Amino acid sequence: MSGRDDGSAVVEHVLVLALLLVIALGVVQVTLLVHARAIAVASAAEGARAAAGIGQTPADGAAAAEQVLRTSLGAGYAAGLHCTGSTDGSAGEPEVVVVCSGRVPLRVLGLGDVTIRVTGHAVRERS
Amino acid sequence: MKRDERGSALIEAAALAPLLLIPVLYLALTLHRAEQARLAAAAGARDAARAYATAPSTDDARAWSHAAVRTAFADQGMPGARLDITFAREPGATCDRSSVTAPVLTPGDAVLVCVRATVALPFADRGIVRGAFPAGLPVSAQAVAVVDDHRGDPP
Repeated sequence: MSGRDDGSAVVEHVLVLALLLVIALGVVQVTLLVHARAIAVASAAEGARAAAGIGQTPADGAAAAEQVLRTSLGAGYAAGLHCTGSTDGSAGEPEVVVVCSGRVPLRVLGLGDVTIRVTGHAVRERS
Repeated sequence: MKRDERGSALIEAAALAPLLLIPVLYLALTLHRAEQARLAAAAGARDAARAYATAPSTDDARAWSHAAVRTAFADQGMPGARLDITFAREPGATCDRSSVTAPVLTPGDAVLVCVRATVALPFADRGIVRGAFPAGLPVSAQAVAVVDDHRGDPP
């Protein structure tokens, strides 16, 4: 190795370590994202369940789902998510379907955000 | 260290690190499944108890409860989870006791619903390895619902 290459190993080390750090943070980011998605599914199902009672409308379920999202994910994460409610009778029993979709920020890596879309179902209660 | 091996440790580290990340990723996926299963079991048990308590007959009650738990697991992306759902009459019932009294739909009575599910490990339930790994993640949840005091008579 000639004298001109002195110190290049340090630079290489730093570059590789930086790459490994990014990969590790990426794993953390993916984990947080799938966690947020699981919570969003639970929130949508919770909203659908809230709308399944007698005298409740699908819009009530959407509002309930957004409320649960805000308290469980935090207002910052939930701000980009919006829910809509509808009824669906195609499965035999009348169901309430709450769909929550929107953008979830990728805060660990600072790479903007990704779009998620989750659905929750509940069978309507009979009067 | 010989002259021509300089820098090889760095290459090894760069090649090995992603390899070592695979178990970490698998652990993360497994924990994700466990979280999904727990959320589904808890929500399913609560929904099943309410469905049981509002059903017109015990046959309907069982069917509705099973449907409620299946719906909860399907929402979390696990429609094929192995489910074991038992019902017991409250008070005094627990999920471990084998000799439980069957719940009745008398107003003021309460029903305990116990949900046990076994969720396959990530990638262990598909392709050629299906059935090769009987191990799974066990989750359980329970919920109680009171039969409404002013429910209508069964038709």
